[in-house]
Amino acid sequence: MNNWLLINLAAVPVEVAEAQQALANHPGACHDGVNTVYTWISQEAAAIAVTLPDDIEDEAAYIGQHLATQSAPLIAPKAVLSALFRTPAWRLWCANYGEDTAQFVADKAELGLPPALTQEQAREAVYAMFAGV
Amino acid sequence: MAFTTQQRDWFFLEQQRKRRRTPHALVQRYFHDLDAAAQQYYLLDSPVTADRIVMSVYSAAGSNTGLPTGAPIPTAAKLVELDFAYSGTLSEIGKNGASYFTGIIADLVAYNGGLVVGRWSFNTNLSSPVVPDLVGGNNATAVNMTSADAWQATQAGADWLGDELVDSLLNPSWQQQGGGTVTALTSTSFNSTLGGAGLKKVAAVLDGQTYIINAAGLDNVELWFGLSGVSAQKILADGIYQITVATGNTDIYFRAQFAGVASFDSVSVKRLMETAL
Repeated sequence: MNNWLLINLAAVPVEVAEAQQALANHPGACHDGVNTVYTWISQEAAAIAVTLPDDIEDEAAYIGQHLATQSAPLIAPKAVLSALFRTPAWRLWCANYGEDTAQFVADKAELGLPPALTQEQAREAVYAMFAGV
Repeated sequence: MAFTTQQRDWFFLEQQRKRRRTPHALVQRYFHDLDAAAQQYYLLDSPVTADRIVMSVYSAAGSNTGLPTGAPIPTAAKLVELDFAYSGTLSEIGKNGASYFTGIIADLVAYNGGLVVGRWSFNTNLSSPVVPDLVGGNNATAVNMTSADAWQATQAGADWLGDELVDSLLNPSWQQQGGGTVTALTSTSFNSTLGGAGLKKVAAVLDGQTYIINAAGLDNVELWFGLSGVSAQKILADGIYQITVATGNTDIYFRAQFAGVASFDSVSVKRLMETAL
């Protein structure tokens, strides 16, 4: 199985962060300014990571809640994370629309958020939704 | 023996023509799945100045995002050849500024002034990140990629077929799904104490990709891609099927219709990449 790692490098011990950044050809991808996705998993990161259970129905909700409430890295199948990163919820979470206002408007509508929300407000709303607060 | 650039160009073109003329020859190679979500791309050792690019690409969605500026939009879900004018230096492949390509780049030839200045076929298993330049030694480095992003394919006619994805049900990669007790009996049969339960292989296929399924001798068993009754893609009877895996349907399930032994004679699931070349 092709697993990816989602990790907040600032929230893990320094030795874990350094180990995960040790490969020059694996800079990772950071969409939201906080969490970085890696296609390889260091032993140090694996040792403290949580693995996505394979019997849950709403994987996006699980991952969202994990990111909103926990600092441990998350290991999940590529298929799951890749699909997640193409969802309106993740785009709103990342709030990196730039000039693409049409996509931003469509994503807010998709999640039933008020049209007047700014990117930051929408991001907070999605964060609160995942965190369950 | 040294070859001129023109001789090398002729050689490559002849190779391509021969491949097209001999569709029954067994040809195998690796392809790399690039995913924009992981910002996967190739970084050239040195930028090359080019005025024309010829590249073979596969984009399930039919998108040119992340391809070199000037690349036409590829036909969705087909391996196609794009031949277009380019202006400037090429330093990254599969990445254009902040945009990344999702799909497969099977071959890229860069020209300048009518001469080939670089060629990369990306035919490696990614055990090493080095992707060789077949012309001038200007190798590329696969960024954010591992060997799990490479898949081996065999040419079948004009198309490409991946390796077999259904292995023995006795393999531990097949896990119980559903209630009751499910026991693998042989490589092609299992016993379920509950209808609807069975065996699953997690993340066996990729959503958005096309697969060809050949099922024979299904007896009290259904083959599902995805679990949700509404969105699952189901093979309920013997036959040959071609499906494009829907989002979230990346697990393969063998489900018993009714309690008892469920079996099949043979089931094959292989990734299919059709070519428009």
